[in-house]
Amino acid sequence: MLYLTLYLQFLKIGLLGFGGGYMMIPLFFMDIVDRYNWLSYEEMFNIIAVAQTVPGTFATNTATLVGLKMGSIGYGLVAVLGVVTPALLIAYLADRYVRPYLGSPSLQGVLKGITAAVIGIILATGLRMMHSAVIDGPTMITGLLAFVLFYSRRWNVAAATISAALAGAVLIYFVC
Amino acid sequence: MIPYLEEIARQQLGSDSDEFLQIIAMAQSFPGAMGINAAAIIGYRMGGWMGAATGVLGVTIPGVICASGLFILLVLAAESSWLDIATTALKAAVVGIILGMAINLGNRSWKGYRNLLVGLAAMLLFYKFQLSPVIILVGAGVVGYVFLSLPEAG
Repeated sequence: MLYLTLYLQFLKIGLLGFGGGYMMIPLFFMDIVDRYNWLSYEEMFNIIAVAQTVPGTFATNTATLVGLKMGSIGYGLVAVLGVVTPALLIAYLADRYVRPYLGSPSLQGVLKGITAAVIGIILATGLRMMHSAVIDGPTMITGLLAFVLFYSRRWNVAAATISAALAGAVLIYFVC
Repeated sequence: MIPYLEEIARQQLGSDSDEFLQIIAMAQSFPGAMGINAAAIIGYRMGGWMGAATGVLGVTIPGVICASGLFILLVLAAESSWLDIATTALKAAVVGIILGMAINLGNRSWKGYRNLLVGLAAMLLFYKFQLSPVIILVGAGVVGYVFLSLPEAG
């Protein structure tokens, strides 16, 4: 039953997405592409890219687009439901069970370890994606421009992505 | 998204800044998008399960609608050669953003050699040895519990 598998898969991805939505990127490639072959690597990469340019959270935008690409908005909604289900559990657990331990060194230690590792994994994912997306001069300039706008100029994700992509598209058009 | 959530927490729950920061801290401690988690926590305090579900729906629906609209536009434009160029540029831009985001987070969290070591180990295990992220995260949690719980481990 595809709907159930899809729901459980996105639930799993939601449960593992520590440190915001970006930790989900390697999981999307692993599960949606390699494990279930629902989409090709290229299609998944395109969706991750497009999801950045839309308002709202990256995780739910990506879930919507994956479902639509698989063939229907029904899939999209099921995927979104899966990826937000953990939030409902969190709402229940937060005040009751987590608030008292928020300052505890043990919990902080666990979270520090996980956060440190998440960053390493995101960095590795970014480098892997760079190999397939940065293929020549113009794409390198585009990537660098996005990096500078976002990291140095502190633009928000959507603004930096769209501006760099537009500039890059013009560049590619005239160079290639 | 955060300033809006703060306004809602202020108006509906009478939360002060400290209380809101605590909500954000909890939202960040859990997996998933911070905005969605925070909306769920605030919603739950306002109206139990229904409140949490409504809060999550509220922050999710606009993105779902926009993404669907964009998807339809992309399908309509599928034949255009412009789309290829735009996609190529977009993907390169996103790589820049992802690397920028990772370095951003690293500046905040990789303080002290122990955190840095855990991060670099995770990167190596994932990139070079293709170890599953699940195993890496569980391992990092255990390592954090043992080595990073001490107050002086910054």
